Amino acid sequence: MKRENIKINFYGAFRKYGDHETLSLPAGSSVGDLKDLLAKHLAGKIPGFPDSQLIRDSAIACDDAVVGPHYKVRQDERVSILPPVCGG
Amino acid sequence: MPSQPFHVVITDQPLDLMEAHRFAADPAFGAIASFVGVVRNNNEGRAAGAVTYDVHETLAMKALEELCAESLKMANGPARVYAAHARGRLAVGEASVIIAVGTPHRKAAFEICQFMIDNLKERAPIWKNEHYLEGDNAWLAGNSLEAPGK
Repeated sequence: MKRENIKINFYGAFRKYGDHETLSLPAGSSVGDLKDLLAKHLAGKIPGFPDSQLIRDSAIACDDAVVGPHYKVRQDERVSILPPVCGG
Repeated sequence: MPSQPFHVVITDQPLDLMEAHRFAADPAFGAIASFVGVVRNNNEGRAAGAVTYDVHETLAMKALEELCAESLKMANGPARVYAAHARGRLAVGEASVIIAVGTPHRKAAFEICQFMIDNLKERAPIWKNEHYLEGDNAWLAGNSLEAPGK
């Protein structure tokens, strides 16, 4: 099966894990798949990873739009994970 | 006078209230309502010295433009709306956000100003990292842009 390398840009509370993470996913994976894999990836990398719920509560943006859980991510898009917002 | 009735700014430079008022002003308007959010020295019982604002700039600009467009519909008449948000590290007392709204009468100006700041906090992809005097820092909780499990 064809795979794609998806670079996920980090914002807010995810900055403590760096500016981005790149994951290999089967082509056609959804936003939900991406979030699940990111949680597993960070949990495997960081002992006691505390932010699985934060990943579930976060939105995913592809290029300049927030997309829903069934949206198919593509490696040619700018993918960002957006934790709950608190500007002002 | 600028022709577009709204203006949005995200910047790492100091915010300028007079610029906001100049943009919101119109000879036909009798009201300019403004809101200035500033960094305070405490939060939930902890002493703080600064806040760093992280911003997804493209999406934040889009969110502010959408809010301005919604505000202009709310006005149901002539109005001008200015919204600026800071990016980067700000010390206590520095302005993090400025909203200014000009309308013919005060009621609409107040209402739109409140709408803008309330919705900016809930919809603009901006995050606060609070720096405490004890030396640690924390990213503050906020509003999910997407409901869990949606």
